Amino acid sequence: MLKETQLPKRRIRSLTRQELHNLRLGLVFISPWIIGFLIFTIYPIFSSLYYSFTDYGLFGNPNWVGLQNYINLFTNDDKFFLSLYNTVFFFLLAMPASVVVAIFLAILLNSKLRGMTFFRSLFFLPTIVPAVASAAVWMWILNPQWGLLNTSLRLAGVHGPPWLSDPDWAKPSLVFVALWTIGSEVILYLAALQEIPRDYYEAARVDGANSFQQTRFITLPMITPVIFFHLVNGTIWAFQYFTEAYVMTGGGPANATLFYALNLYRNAFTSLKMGYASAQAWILFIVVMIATLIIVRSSKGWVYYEE
Amino acid sequence: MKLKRITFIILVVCLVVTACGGKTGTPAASTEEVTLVFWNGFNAHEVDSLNQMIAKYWTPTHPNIKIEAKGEVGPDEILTAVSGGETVDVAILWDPTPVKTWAYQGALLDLTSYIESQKVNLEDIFIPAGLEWVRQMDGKYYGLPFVNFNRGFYWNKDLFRKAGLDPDTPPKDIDQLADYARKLTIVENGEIQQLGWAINQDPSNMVELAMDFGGNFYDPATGNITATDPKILKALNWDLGLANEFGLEKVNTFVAGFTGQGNDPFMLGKLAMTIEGCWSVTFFEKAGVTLDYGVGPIPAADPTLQKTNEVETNPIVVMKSTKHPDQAFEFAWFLASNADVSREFAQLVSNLPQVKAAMANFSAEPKTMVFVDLSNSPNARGWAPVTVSAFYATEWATAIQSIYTGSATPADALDTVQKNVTAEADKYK
Amino acid sequence: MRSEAALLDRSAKRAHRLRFFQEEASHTVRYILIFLCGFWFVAPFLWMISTALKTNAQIYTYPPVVFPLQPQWKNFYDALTAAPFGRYYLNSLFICACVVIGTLISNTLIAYGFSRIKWIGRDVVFVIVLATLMLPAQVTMIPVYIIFNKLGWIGTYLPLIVPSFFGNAYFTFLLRQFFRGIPFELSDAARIDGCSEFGILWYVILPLARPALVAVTLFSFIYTWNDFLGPLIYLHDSELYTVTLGLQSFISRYWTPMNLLMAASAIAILPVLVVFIWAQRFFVEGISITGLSGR
Repeated sequence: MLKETQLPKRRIRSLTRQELHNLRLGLVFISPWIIGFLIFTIYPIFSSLYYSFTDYGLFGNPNWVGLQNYINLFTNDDKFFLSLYNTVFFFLLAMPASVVVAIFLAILLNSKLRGMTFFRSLFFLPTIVPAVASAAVWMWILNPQWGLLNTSLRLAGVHGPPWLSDPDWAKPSLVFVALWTIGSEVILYLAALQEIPRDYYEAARVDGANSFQQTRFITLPMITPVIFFHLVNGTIWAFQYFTEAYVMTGGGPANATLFYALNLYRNAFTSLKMGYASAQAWILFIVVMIATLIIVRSSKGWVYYEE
Repeated sequence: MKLKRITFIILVVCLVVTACGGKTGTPAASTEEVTLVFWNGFNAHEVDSLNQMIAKYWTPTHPNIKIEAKGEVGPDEILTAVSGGETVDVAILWDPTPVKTWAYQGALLDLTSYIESQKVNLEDIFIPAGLEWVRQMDGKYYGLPFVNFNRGFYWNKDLFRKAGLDPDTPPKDIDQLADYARKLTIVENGEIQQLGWAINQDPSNMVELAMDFGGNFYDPATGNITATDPKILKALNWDLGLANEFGLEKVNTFVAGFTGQGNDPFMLGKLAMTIEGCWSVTFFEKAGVTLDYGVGPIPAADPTLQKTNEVETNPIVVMKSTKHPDQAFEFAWFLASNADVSREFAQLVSNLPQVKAAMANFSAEPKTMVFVDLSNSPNARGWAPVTVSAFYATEWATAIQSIYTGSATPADALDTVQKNVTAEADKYK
Repeated sequence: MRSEAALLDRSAKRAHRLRFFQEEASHTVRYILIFLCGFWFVAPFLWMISTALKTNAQIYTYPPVVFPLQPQWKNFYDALTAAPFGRYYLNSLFICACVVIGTLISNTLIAYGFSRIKWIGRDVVFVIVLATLMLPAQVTMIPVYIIFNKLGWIGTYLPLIVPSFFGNAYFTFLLRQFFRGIPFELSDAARIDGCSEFGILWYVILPLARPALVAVTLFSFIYTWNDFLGPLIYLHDSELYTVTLGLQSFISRYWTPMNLLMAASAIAILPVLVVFIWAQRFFVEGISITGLSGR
């Protein structure tokens, strides 16, 4: 008796009319993506997979080498593991920090007080500064002698480290720089906060909840869809982190900021070993896929959709 | 159905965009006229000037060969485009290290037979050091030099005077350099206020120093990597030793405080002696810096090493996939050997001419002439014109950083470099 | 009677005053926190502007000048005239407008398909969509270039614009999350009333998802406006160049006038700032999406 209420067993059966109708409808709606995928995406994906099994050097013909690239990465390449470590370290530091800071700022800016439009623009400004200007700006801020950060710390009586020149502080410095462009995520959290019905807070206040409890039991659960979005995208971004390290530190000092994507880029474009780099890319793909699936699976436990 | 209308609108928009997109068509290939696609790393203004020079010196004698120049593209973009099927005939790279890697992979046209048909001795026309970067071990040429650059010794005459040293006489050798450095360093309240000598943050400067001690990074006869050359080790130990005398931490803090462009401690009068590029002369002028300084060869460790300096070039290469190899070479040869273009463009970008004919009267600024002269000295050479030079440079930079952050001794760091670079070089045999 | 009323009145007033002070205090705390955090977000930008207003001599001094006493406003003029920025602005605006339109059209359709219709295999396909974000650009750059080359699109705006009409995993994901949060009762009701799926999207979902749509507009505009690598490798004719390529023209290997670069960068931000201020309106409270209460 109970069995009938369980999920349908996996067995081959023809689709009901409704399911067929929904399937057709769904595919029609996502057809732009399907077409784009077939034209622009599928070839690069499969060609990079193919190259990962060859010794392709960008010029001349690729020769099949089977799994040799993958084997070399795991057995013969110190930089592979070092760059993986650097990237995971960065990810574990940057993700929690950015979620906490973004939510904090969104709550801070979510009020009807005067000047909020102005303040929101302020926090959003960094995301629109062109990359060429950002790098120069941040080199100044993090300058050990006269930079803004160390000067402020000096006023507070703290002796700041030479940030980007210090192997121990280079990665945290880059996380700090990354937090600067958190404005886009703050906007998303703001939009989500705006959509939380006032009645919930009223009801809670009537029940005697203080603001911390309101935050914990109303605000946070209601914005979990955005947190989920932030986590998934943040994971993909953190594992592919490249530009700032390339421009500001060049992987240094002493390979402290040699991230996975930077190492990959050097293999591809400087050493002209595109086959090897493609293998690296696919290993990263698998790692990110696993991390994302973990987040997606766990999301059923903590993400709340008002459905 | 609304969906059909949407699709139709999308198609129309695509058509409109295609029509308005304005594809730059290449002129129909007639038997007479050829258009060469010329990519380079110079910025828009520099490309404008280059185009004017081309109009002035090339077009009158080659009206049938048109040049389509595109700037701001570095080696990576050129690589992407050419691998992606784009036609690029001639390119100028802003850094010589990719040439031999690209040549090895078959990206570049072998210019040797073309050069031979010019019936000239290359060493008569070109400054020899610039040629090393474009010539393979077997003597084949895969590029031509274009505007060289090198580095030299800079000293602050005011600070010399203050320390009681003759401002017009730089140290004559390494020992005297160390001596002067001690005299020129001022420490107050446990912090360095003025430093006599520092080059440890710039790996290229460290290369200069090592060469100045007679160090060889590779064996010109075999092309083998020789990072563990004892003279290189000696240079590193010398510099590290000097830094330790002043306090390595203090020196690092001092130097790290001047990161970023424009924050050159020498330019700001805080550093008495250092190694800088030939372009710094113009840079200081443009920055409005009123510094009384002198330039010269780096004090040699040994009389036979006088006027040692490391020379690099912006190589001109012809891509192998070009459809007009004859014309492409002709244009490349023009760029490389024309003394007027060399003189004018080198001055524009604060570099040095690559042809001997342009050396005389190159500049009214005597300091620049010092560098021109240096680049042609018998001891001028490229530091590592090998197939894996870009990789070598990265490994060297990492080694320098680990030495000066105290995580490796100079000997160990050099061993690591030797091991890694040799392994890499073996892949290109 | 009167004294009791007076007592009640006074205590009510006291309670009211207490709440007023509590609110004022929390407002003050809020402002303080905003200023403290905001300082870190705006300081880099201020430094950028201050550099833009310096002369060369002021940039290259030690210790660094924070605020130049004689601001060189003419740097902004010099920056604008150093390259044909008028043309570059128009080019960038054109590309951005096209991309925003393409992004909005394609991603709303696709996100609807992934969120409002239950079809077999939907979530698996969605994971594939996400997966396309996971391969580093360094290895897909060249095959993508090959495709555009085969299509004959190199040298035109097409590689920059056309792909946006076929969806973008990031925006699809974003819209899907927001669409999922809209109660299904609303679309069910509309369906029962005889509305087509597309009608539901247009009449029910889109109005309620306005903040999300505005976010998509904003982000795609910014991303396209600041895109550098795309224009660099796909555009050859300098007539077609964008603002980011124009900024690059200040940078030489041998000399970069930092003041002009910063001035030009500051000006480059302006259109984006305008779009952002416009977008602000849609993040203002008052938009209720539940639609169930108060309907």
